[in-house]
Amino acid sequence: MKIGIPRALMYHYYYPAWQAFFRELGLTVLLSPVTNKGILDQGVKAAVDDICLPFKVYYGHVLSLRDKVDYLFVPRFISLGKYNFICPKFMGLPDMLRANIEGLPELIDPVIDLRRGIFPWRQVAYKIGRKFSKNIWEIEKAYRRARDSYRHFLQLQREGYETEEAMLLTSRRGKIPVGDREFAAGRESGSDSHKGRAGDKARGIKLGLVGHSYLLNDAYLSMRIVERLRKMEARVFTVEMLAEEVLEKAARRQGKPAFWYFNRQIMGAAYHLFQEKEIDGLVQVTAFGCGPDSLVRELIDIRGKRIGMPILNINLDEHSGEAGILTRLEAFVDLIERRRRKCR
Amino acid sequence: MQITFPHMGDMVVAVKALFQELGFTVVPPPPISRKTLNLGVKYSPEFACLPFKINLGNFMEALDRGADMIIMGGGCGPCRFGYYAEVQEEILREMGYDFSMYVIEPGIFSNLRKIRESFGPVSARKVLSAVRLAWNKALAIDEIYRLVLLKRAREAKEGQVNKLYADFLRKIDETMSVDRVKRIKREYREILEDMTGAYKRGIPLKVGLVGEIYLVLEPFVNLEIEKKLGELGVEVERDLYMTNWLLNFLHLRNDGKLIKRAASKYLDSFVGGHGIDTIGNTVRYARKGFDGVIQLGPFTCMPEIIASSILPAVSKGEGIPVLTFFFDEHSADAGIRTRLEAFVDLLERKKV
Repeated sequence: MKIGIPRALMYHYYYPAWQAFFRELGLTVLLSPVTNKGILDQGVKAAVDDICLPFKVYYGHVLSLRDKVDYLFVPRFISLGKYNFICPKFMGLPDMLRANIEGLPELIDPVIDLRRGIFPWRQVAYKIGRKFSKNIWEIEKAYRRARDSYRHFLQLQREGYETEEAMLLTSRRGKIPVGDREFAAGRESGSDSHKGRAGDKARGIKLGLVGHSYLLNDAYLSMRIVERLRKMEARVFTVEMLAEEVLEKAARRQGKPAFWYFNRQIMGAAYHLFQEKEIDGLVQVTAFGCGPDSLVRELIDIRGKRIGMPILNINLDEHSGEAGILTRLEAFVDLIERRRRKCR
Repeated sequence: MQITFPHMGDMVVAVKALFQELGFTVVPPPPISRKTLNLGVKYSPEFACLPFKINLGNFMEALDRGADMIIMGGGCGPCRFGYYAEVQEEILREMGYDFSMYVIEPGIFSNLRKIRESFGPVSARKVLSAVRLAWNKALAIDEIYRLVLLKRAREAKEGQVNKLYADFLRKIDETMSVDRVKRIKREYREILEDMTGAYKRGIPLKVGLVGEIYLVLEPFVNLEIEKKLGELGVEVERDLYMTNWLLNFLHLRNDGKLIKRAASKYLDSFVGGHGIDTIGNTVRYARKGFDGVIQLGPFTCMPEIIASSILPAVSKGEGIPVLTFFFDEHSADAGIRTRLEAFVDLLERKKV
């Protein structure tokens, strides 16, 4: 049996866990292709006009999987922790797909609400698992495998691996030991040959890059912003590199931190990077039509302005041009360099 | 202390009464105008939703008039409204305004403590009588408005009902006694109920209004869509009223269950804001035999986007025409009117 996982939205946060879980249960996991123009166009056509870019892309990925799989994994995310929510569009996602796309395979749409229960993840795992296996131990084993994979994945991200890389390494676990810090450090500084060229030598400016992982790590949507910044030899710090406790602590500097899980993390990352003065500038990437981004971005802007931090705001939609983005990134990096030279 | 609060439909009358009765000076923002909108748009985040911008405009105009205490609603998501106050406060401070802000967050005890800190001690009896007056005013307004929405379709003279309602509002605003509020309400209810003349269009057409509460309640932002429908000879009904919302919020009524059950076939989860109400009420109106449903929401509103992507399925499944309007600062009168007229014509042709 084949289960399809769209390569969009929560894929960028949880795929290693999902992959391990379903494989262990004996299913074949089919991933949709990397986002391309065809997928985006299809998604734009199938979704309502007003919805934000990442969801339009998700529709495209679902369409590309529709006729190839027996099941489609579209969890209904509601909350990822105490007092937290995520964007409400995730809550209505399975219903929206059913209403807008005909001929869908059966959707596996467990409710994921971490405010409830003692072991919410395990409960979700058992709920899905029972559909595919009668054997409780098998489900428990699959759950543990998923959990371990996920922890491994997070660990790699903290060490500076990019999300895609961390996923790859997690699924081929064992070949490269965790904690090969030199390798990670090389990546972080942005050079393609992993060792050597440390950040300080060349341009060596330090940039914070904040935004939803499902936007930044989708190379097509984000027009490879991460890669481009690294090519300019800037050291890039992302949300994924910071531990959850650090993010939460920093977010609490706002009287009332954002109640959307991912935006709270973004807020935390920005405030943490501001405070520690590790960075020379901040690049904020938001999606057109993203509700939480529209407000949280403003707060980060205000705080940045108060401490004189240069901030570049990039708002992406389906009409964003690659040249435009590149020009702005280059100009921003130039500006920061000139500022640094003056300060010296 | 000079208190102010954001506008939302005709609720200014009740809220004003509440604080005046408590013995505070109230500086309500001037009625929402083009200027309010422009101020709000200028200083708000570009992609914030329309209510945010109007609220901010309200606050700025009220602060300019001498208010120094803002009362605002809060919440804990997932709708953006719960985060309005936090961002608005930062923006206003950044602009150099000096004020204090009281945000009503969920939680009775924390609120009581905060109220005491912010407003000083007020006697319980005074609070009770103030709440009673405000509540009665709110109830009266909602009850009469419910009739206004129906009777515009069968008024003998154009604009007659609007004038009646304006008189009623003025009288309610002026009076400070619960008895008189009730008497005025009775008087106008009788006048309106007696209007049983012929329908302007010749046939009765009934449209249900669903969507995001601010856009439904505030005529300035929805470009007086209810009035326009009335002029077209359409009876309008809705479940979104401030008093209704409050009763449900305080668990004194439970329409939520009904709505959830009606919606469950199409939307099986709470999605924040009024998303599930939009779906549930559309289903209910269809089953009650309404001729059509109109959905209103601010541009980029997350819950209403979910609802609007599901509504086509509801429309097909329940056999009811649905029209969606998303509003932002660029919405124009003529465009809305044309689409409304076409929609109403369609409903009429379907019925005859």
